[in-house]
Order: sequence, then structure tokens, then C-alpha cells
Amino acid sequence: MHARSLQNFFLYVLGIFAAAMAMFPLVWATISSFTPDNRIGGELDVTAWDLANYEQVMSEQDFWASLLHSAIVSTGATAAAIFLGILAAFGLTRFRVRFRRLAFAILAIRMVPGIVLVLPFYLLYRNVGLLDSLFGLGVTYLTFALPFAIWMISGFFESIPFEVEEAAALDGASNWMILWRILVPIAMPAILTTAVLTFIFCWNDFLFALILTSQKALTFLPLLLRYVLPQGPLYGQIFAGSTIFLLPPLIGLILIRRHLSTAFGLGAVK
Amino acid sequence: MTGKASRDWRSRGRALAYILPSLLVLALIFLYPLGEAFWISLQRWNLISGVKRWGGLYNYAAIFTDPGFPQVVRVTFVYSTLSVAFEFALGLGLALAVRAGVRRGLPGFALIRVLVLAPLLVAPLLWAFYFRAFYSPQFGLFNAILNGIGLPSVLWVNDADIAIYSLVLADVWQWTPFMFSILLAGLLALPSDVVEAARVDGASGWRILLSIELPMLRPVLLVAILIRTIDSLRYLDLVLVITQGGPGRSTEILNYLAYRTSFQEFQLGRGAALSFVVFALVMVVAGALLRVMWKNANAR
Repeated sequence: MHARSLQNFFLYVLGIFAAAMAMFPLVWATISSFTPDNRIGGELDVTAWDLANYEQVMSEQDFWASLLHSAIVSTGATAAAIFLGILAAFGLTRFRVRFRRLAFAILAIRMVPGIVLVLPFYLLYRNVGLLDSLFGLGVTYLTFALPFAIWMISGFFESIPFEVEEAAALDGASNWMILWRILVPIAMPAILTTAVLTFIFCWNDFLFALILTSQKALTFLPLLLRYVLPQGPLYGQIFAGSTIFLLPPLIGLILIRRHLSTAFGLGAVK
Repeated sequence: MTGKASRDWRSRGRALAYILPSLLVLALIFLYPLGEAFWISLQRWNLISGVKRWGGLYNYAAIFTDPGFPQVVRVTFVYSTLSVAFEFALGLGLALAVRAGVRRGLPGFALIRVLVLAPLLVAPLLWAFYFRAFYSPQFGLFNAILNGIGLPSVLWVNDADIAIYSLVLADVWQWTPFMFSILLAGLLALPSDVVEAARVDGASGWRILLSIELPMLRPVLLVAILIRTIDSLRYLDLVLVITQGGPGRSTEILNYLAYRTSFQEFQLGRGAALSFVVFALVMVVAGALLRVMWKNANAR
């Protein structure tokens, strides 16, 4: 009994230490963003709260536009990936013929490094006038969003027993109706989870946005680079921007919190 | 419904009709860029001078005979191996601790399990800025802490001997939770009857872990390690924001070299060839990953 409570004590020490370490950079940057810029560094003076960093970032010329661009391109790419992903997952998993090798090929191309793709996209877009456009940027996001969506949704569809749709098929329901009226509603929590994770991947992208956009389709992370001056970054403004930038993913994760642990592990364990 | 209709119900053609839209999109956004990138890698093409001419395998030969290249390979190897090794060890330890806490019904462990995922929320670019601030020589938090407990300052990212390890630390700090979440999901999915049987036979907790649970978990462990290896080979943000490959070339990983060559020196042919070297490296690891997952999926 005594040994057990000692063990529990150590588990708590370990767990709380890990949680504190994990939270620390985020919390520190958030607190820093509320302190005057010249204090950002070693010590935090929590008595000197200040919104100056936020005022400066939010009055930046393209602040709202870039936030809106990030939202539009991430939402658009996510919606396209989820729609196409639902169709493909249905075709891959719910028919008599199984396309296992095809599913693995789709997973394989997800691992192609962005650095290989971004240069050809740049040259292509320069020729066809898609450089600095939200549509063009969104298409490049499909390179990671679509394979991810197909793989995740296929995994969820596979876990649904066939019996549920066999009855409907005998009643004369078409494949299309079975998919949207039966399978999608059953898998909805899982599909939403996939959507939130896909959105976050798009939202956090930096490489494609940096190379393929400049002004008309400027997204938020490249905008923050304006605060990197030759003499060093203006951390106050960057951290204020980063705190604002973190809110949509945070809200998304709170929405799917109950499915989060399954979602993170699932792709790998299944 | 006729017999013919029900036989068609799940035909190959109908299945393909659902897969086709995705396949077309993927073909467009992968086949064309990959082909184009390879084509570019065969040209000697400098965007600044505008000179573009056929080079054949010149760029590849130039990469592998560059006297600086072994150093880049070494740095890439150190960075990826150390990051993944530490993430694995820490992630596994934490997953075991959290599982023990959850199993014992200790209050608070459900919350701890979520809170440790916090770094995954942060865009890699922003995470890099956090650590650039931490590592700042005069004003950085880490040196302030060291000085506070009476230790001398460390040149975290301004000393060629230790800069790469500072990047590893930032990488481990962000991605250990990813390893943790996969390993915990794997641990919790283990069938409990085998473990129970061993426990009834009087096996200790450590013995069960080492000779029963970890061997059963082997595919999940491999998948987690390989995914992280792939991601670390594709990673750019920390180097881009914190060190730009320096001091000297001490933190210049392969992926950053490819980026710099294409987008800062505008040597497009050479840059494309370098990106293909990264691609080849990633695909070797990806091949191993897919083999494990394929065996795993077919074993069910």
C-alpha cells in the first residue's frame, strides 16, 4: 500500500513536469506578448501589462487581409480534401474489390517533401498567372491535405460493419445515397476530426505560402516575417501575432477534444 | 431488384468512379511537378544570370563531389538521429507513465494527457521563433536562467560546436508529444488477456513490459520512429528561422541546403537536384514504413 502511493507520487511528479514543460513555451510567449517589447527576453515583468504589441500588429496594413487569406485558403483546401476524400474512401473500402495497394500508394505520395514540389509549382504558376493567388496556393495544399484525408477517412469507414448498408442496398438505395445518408452520418465525428486536423496543417503551412504568394494572396505567417529586421526579430509583435494565430486551431481542437486521442494514434496503429 | 443489379452493386467500375476524382487531382498535383522538378534538375539554370542550358547529370555530380557535402550529410544525420532517438525515449517513457496514471484512475491524468499535446498546436515556424528568443545570447531566457543559478552563459546557437544540439533540443521539445500520442494509443490498444495471464504467473511489471508488451508493440514503435524520421528529413523551419545553416555551415541540413540553393541563390537546376536527393532519402525511409504498415494491415 505504501509502495503504491509512493509510485503514484512519482507518476504525478512526472506527469505534471511533462505537462508544465509542454505548456511552457506557449505560455511564456503568450505572456511575453502582453509585456512591453523592450522587456521581452530573460525576465518577465508581469506587473507591466501592455497591449502595445497587439495594437501594432493589428494596425499593420495587411493584418486582417492576411488572416482572412489564411482562413479562406485553409477552409477551401480542407473542404475540397474532405469531399474528395469521402468519395475516394468510399470507393477504396466499401466495394467488393479492395484497392489496398492503391491506398498505400496514396499514403506514400503524402511523404513527398514540399521542397521538391514548390519549385515546379512556382514556375508553372508564373507561366499561367496563378502566382500570388489563393486558388493556386490552395491547390498546393491538396498535396498534403488530400492524401491525409483519404487515409484517415478510409480508416474510419473500414471500422463500420457492412451490414448497415446491405439492408439499404436491398431496399434499392443507390451507392450515392448509401454513402451520404448512411455512412457519412455514422462517421461524422471522425470526419470532423479529420477536417480540423487538415485545416490545422493548411493553416500552419509556411513554405508554399512563402514562395507562392507575395501581396494579393499574402497569408499570415509570411506577414509575420516583416517583423524580422536585420538587427533581429521584434519578438513582441511576433508573439502577439502568434497568439492570435493560435486561436483558430485551439478552437478547432476544443471542438473535437473527445476524439483527439483516437485521431492522433489511429492512422499509425490501425 | 434483379439479380443483375445486385451483382453490379459493388463492382470494380463503380468503386473506381468514386476514387477517380481524387486520382485525377493527385496525378495533376504530383506527377507534373515531380516530372518538371526532375527535368529542371537536368538543366544548368541560374535565374539571376538567366543562363539555362542542358546539363544532364552535371548537377548531381556537382552535389556529390562538393567538398562541403559530407559535412551536410553528417549534420543531417546527427540532427535526424538525435531528434528521433530522444523523442522516442521520452515519448515512450511518458506514454508508460500516463498509461499507468490513467489505469490507476488517478485524477488529473486525463488532463495531463491532453496538456502534453500543447506543442503540436503551434505552427513549426512560430515554435522556431519561440526558441530563437530563448536562445538569444544577451536577453534570452535560457541564459537568464543559467545566470540566475550562478552558471555562465551559453552561446546556444552562436557556437558552431553546439548549435546543432540546440536545434535538436527545440525539435525534441515540439515533437515528443507526437511520439507520445502514437505510442500511448498503441499501448492502450494492446490486448489485456496476455498481460493478465503473465501477471497471474507472477511476472513483474518490468518483465511484462520488456518481454511481452514491447515486442507486441513493435509495429507501432517502428511506425512512430519512421514517421518522425521522414518528417525530420523534410523539416526546415528551425534552421530557417534560428540559424540559417550557421555558424559556418554547422547546422546546414540537406533540406535547408536545397531551399537555400533554389530560393536564395536561385540556382534552380542545382536546387532541384538537391531536392531530389532529399526526396530519394525520404522515400527510402518511407519504403520501410510502408512495408511495416502493409504487413501490419495484412496480418489482421
